[in-house]
Amino acid sequence: MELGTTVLLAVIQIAVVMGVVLLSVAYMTYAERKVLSFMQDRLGPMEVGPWGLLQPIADGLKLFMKEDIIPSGANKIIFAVAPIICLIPALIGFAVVPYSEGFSLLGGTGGTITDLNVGLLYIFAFASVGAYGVILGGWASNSKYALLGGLRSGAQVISYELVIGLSIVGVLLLSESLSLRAITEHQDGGFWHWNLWVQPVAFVTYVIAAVAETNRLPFDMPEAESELVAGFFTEYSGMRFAFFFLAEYANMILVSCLASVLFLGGYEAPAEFLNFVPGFVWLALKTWALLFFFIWIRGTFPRVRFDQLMKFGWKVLIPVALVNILVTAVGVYIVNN
Amino acid sequence: MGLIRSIFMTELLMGMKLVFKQMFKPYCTLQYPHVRHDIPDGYRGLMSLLRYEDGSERCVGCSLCEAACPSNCIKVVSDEVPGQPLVRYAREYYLDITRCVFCGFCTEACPVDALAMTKVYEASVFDRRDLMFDKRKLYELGEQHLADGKAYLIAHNMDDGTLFPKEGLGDNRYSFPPVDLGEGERPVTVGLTREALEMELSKQ
Amino acid sequence: MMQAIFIYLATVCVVCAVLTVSLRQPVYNVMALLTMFFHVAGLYVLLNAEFLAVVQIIVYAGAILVLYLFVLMLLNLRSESRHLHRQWPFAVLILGSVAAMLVGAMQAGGFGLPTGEAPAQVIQAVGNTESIGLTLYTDYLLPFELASLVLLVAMIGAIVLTKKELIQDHGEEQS
Repeated sequence: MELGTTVLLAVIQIAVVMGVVLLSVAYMTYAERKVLSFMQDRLGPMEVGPWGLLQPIADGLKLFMKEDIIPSGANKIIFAVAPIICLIPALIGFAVVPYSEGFSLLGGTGGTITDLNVGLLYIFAFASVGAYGVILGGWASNSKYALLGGLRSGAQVISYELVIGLSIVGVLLLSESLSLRAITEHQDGGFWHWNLWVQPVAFVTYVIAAVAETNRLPFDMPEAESELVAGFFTEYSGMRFAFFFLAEYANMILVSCLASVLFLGGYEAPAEFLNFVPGFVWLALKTWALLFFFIWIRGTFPRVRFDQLMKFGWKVLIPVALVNILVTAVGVYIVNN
Repeated sequence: MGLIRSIFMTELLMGMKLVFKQMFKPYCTLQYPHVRHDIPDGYRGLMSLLRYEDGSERCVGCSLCEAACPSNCIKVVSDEVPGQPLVRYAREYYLDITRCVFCGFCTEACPVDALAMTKVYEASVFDRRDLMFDKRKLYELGEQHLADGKAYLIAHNMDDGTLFPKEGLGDNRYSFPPVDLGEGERPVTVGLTREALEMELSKQ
Repeated sequence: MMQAIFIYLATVCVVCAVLTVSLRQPVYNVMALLTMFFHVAGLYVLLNAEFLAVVQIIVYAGAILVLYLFVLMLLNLRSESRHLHRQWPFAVLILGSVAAMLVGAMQAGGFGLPTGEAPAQVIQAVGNTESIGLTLYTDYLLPFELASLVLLVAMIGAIVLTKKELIQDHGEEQS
């Protein structure tokens, strides 16, 4: 395949995937407001468009047209760079998520932007870089709330990344690959082949850690509004604030995509007779189900205290994940021999 | 048992189940600008001044409302009706809504039921000076919300007499029946009609 | 093409490494180091070692450097003048001699050395992660376990050092 075709194929896929992701981010904010409203016997946004459907677009326009304020005493360069450092890792991870079975396009194979053989680690590498945006943004704002939010976020993200990393090891042992496509194909053929049934403990620890990793309620310490105003992006406004916002929601979608690939069979249909439905529909359905779960627990639980969060991460989740690895490894060894 | 419960997170799941059920309950909010609450008759909204049915002003300029007001937001300038000694009216009447606490004491104090509270609660303006209601604004409000004012007087002041003088007098209210000076059938106005007042003011 | 990419990565690596020790604002130093780690990861990718590249980012950029940043933010070394900058002539002298030695060694030895048991073709055939795992857990098992032991000792040491007062208090109560 020629270089030009490769690049064209990549550009087309990037454009489509990024379009879908950014649209999902926009409508994730809408869905969150709506679902939370229904849980609280309200109606949510109703004014812009029918049932408020154009609300995210109005919000986006508003944010992009607002004045960009840089507080006095802030470190201007890092203040400007931090939102971008936060946003890029959140978006770049979608490059390795397989959204469909391989199909031929322009003489190449579509279905993933690029199928790295270390795809999973690639996502985690960039997710860990996302913490820089938060910490630097908090530090550069020259504000005590932002600094505290950044510090909390740093501690939280580092701790819970460990949990995420440990809870996926069981899946890796089962599928014997780090490529997300290989992991998906390993779960082929009906929902009873999903890793969820083999690795229920890993799924639970992964989901809890993912909630903490994306700074969502009930683990939204870095932006606990009742104590830290808005945490690390207290001083941000306009477009830069929008970047942080986008990054948070893109991260949510990314960890949900990853959970559906790792535990729920990714683009595979839940049963053989449903194979006529295209793969990306299944991936989207599974991802949105997990996103609904995110909103659901936000609507249910109050925020935990910071020391409780740390204690839970280090003293409960990590040991549980380690025991899970041990049990899985022994089980895989016995089955293979 | 407790350990098993905490491992399976039973209590958390119970909470989540409750929240999930709540999603399917009907909403209990009003879409405010499109749908409004039914306001009870005794609601204490913006103040207004009322007229008799022939258009003459009820207010006799007695300043009792000014005396009753706990936040000193009412200012009455009383004057004689020109050419009618012994008959007084409020030449000027100011009510500072920014200070008003909406207690309704002035309407209780008013002996002629000239003051009534309407159901208007959207008092926001772009210029704070517009919240300094003068006599004209108060009478305008009274004209616009006459039914609300009457309903308020019936509900809040328990008054059914002076408001409708021909149907009998109330027993908890002073009454100022129209003064008959012997000239013609028509009852002589107490106070001035709006047009007469404006003419009066323009002369000065 | 490959050479151009290599030159870019290597240049940025060297420049960032120099910036890491020469910039005055501590947070900028960390940022320079971060950039360097990314470009070193890029060098690994050029060598067909994606696993190493990704692990480089996860371990160094994602974990260790975040902790550095953490400490820097807590210390707040905003505009502290640092005496180490006065020693730069010595540093240049020593590093220059080391560099000269290295260049001399390379000139003498040449680049035509044997490639070892795992050239790029073999790695691509077996798979990156598998080949590293196999090598690490068969040939290099002892060094690997020793390294883990060293890390364990360091971890226990850190706990003992930070919890010293608590341990002492506890001992005094008992005695």
